[in-house]
Amino acid sequence: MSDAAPVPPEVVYRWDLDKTYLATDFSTARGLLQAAVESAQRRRTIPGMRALLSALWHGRDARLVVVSGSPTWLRRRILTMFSLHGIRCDRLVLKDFGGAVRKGRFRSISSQVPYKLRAHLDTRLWLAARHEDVAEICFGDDAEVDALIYCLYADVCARRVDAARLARILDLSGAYPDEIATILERVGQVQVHDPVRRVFIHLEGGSPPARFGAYRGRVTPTFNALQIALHLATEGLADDRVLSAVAEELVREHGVGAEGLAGTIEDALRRGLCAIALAQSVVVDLLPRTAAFDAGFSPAFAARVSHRLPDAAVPPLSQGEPLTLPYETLFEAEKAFAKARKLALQTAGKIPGLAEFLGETER
Amino acid sequence: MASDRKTTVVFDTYGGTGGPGEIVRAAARLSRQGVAQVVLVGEVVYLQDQLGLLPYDPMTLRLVPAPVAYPRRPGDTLAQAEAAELALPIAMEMLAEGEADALVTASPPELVRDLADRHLGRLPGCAAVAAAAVVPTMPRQGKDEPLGLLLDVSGRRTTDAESLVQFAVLGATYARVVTKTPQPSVALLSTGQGAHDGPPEVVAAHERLTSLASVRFVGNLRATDLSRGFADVVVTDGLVGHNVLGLLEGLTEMTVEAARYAWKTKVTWRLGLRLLAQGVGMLRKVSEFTTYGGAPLLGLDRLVLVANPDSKEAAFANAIKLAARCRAADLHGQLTTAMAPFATGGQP
Repeated sequence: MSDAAPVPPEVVYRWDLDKTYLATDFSTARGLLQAAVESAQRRRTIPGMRALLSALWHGRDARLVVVSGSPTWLRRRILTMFSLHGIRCDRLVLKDFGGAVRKGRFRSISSQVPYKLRAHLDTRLWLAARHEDVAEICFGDDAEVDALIYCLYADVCARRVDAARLARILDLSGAYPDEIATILERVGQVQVHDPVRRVFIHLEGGSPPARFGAYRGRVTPTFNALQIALHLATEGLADDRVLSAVAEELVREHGVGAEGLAGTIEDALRRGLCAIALAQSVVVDLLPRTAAFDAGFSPAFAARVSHRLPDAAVPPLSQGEPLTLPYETLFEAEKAFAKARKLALQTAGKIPGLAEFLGETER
Repeated sequence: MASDRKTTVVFDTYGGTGGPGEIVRAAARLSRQGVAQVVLVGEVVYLQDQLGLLPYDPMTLRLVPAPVAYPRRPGDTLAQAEAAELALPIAMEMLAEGEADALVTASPPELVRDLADRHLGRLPGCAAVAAAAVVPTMPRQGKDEPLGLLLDVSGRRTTDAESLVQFAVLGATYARVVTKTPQPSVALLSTGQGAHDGPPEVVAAHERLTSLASVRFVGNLRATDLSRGFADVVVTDGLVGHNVLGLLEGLTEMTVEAARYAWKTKVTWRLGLRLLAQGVGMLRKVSEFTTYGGAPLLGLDRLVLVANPDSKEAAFANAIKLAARCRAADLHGQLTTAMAPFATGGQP
């Protein structure tokens, strides 16, 4: 055994699970039951996400940290699923619903901010203990408050949010006093450093992209895995291999056609997620050489799409110096959005077509 | 037979009096249902700004740039026509090139027809193109919806019997495919119900339609019978059809205005309207031209749906669904088969 210190990884991927990686449906009793009993083999992933995570994980020396609101008794099944996907999950944090019920802490069951923030800080400390103080790329979705939690995590690590304010925010989000004390203690142990390089929010719950404008450019809303891959490739954090893998999965396993791929790339370009040179190269050189060709992405189709790309291009988004966020206001806004959404979903059954519009049925 | 891939519907977003907002909302909504691939042709920066405020799915919604149109006030018809000339040719070309299966536009119908003549071909054997319109009728037994198809409403004179006969075949085929009526009834609009009533071309068309096996011809209708729902398809000269449609739209508007006046004028009338609210709502739903979605230009080798310029989100969404339904039912193939006898010069 060597005495040399472990080599730090190049990057840490921090993922949420449900509605970010897994296509879980919590809006119906059937969906909930399915999530509880489904085997690791049968778990459905969000189109393209399996290929994305696998290609990212295999491409560089990376660590995978998963913090999920799923119950602890799903641990073995989730780890088996990742192993079936050829990915090693370095840290998996799940919610202890049983413990919360036993202690009579019913607020903990529904509140996400204290639970996830503490889990992120704990895993950060675990990484630091292994000299792995490296950059992190975070992945969440719009169904919960992932955007707020990831930004708060970054601000807390960088001490852009002081202890008094953090305590107020946690109190607002329904944390118990001892939870607040534990989180503040963890913050004191974390090295002052902003590890978060990018936060991706997968728009699974039917939010408009403009909803995340309030996060002042610190959050990147994406419609699918290909848009994440395009943005990472624009920032030099992914290569053609990742892009091809995602496109292949979308085409082969989810029946996405040439129009769908082109629409995704054009949208990424219009929203500043992707550089024009990269979009041109993906359209002209890459996709016609993948399974996309069989789905109609012929060189002729690529030429037509490529011809129109310059009209869609806007300068790519740059993260710049992070601005602190009005978390108290954001939290209230997120709560109001979730309430409106819940109300709309309850009404959805009574209004034909509303459920589909809200994206709560299979497309 | 139509393939498994989704129907691609291209929109010209400069058409319509309400601006692109209504079209964008309809396209965003349907993009999440995956009904069709929608392509919006217009000012991309503006369209993207609008889309950013809505949930949508870029996999089924694409934007194609058109030259930027000057800002315009709703209802500015001259500026609207100018703007339509910027986007519609691009959309029409995409349709002609096979990049789209159907075109939906609320641009001025004359412009749509002129561009269709320039960019698109006709079905084999087709002598003229007919603009169809969906018109409200009285409910009748055996009919799911109290609606009929009136064609031609293009405003162009139709002076030959051959064209009228072809319109009857096209209209009957379209009605059969879209409304799933196995044998739609077809009538000619004329001055009287007799076989010899009306101008010479109508008399001649009547004679030919009587002996035509492929069409269930039920004779002539007078204008007063049009709304009674005696026929599923009513064929007429383009100029007459255009004026009939205008008259019906005007009547609908007048009725709404009269109800508004009654509401404001007397408390007892208001009370009466309240009691009738459900019935008035149903009547309005049926007679509201802006909710129908779109009516086809029949005789072209591609599907073009012309929507009412005042169409709202629901109408544009219906137009997308209609286009998808037409492709799924292979409307083009059915129309080609129906028109084949005209192409070979035989008796249909």
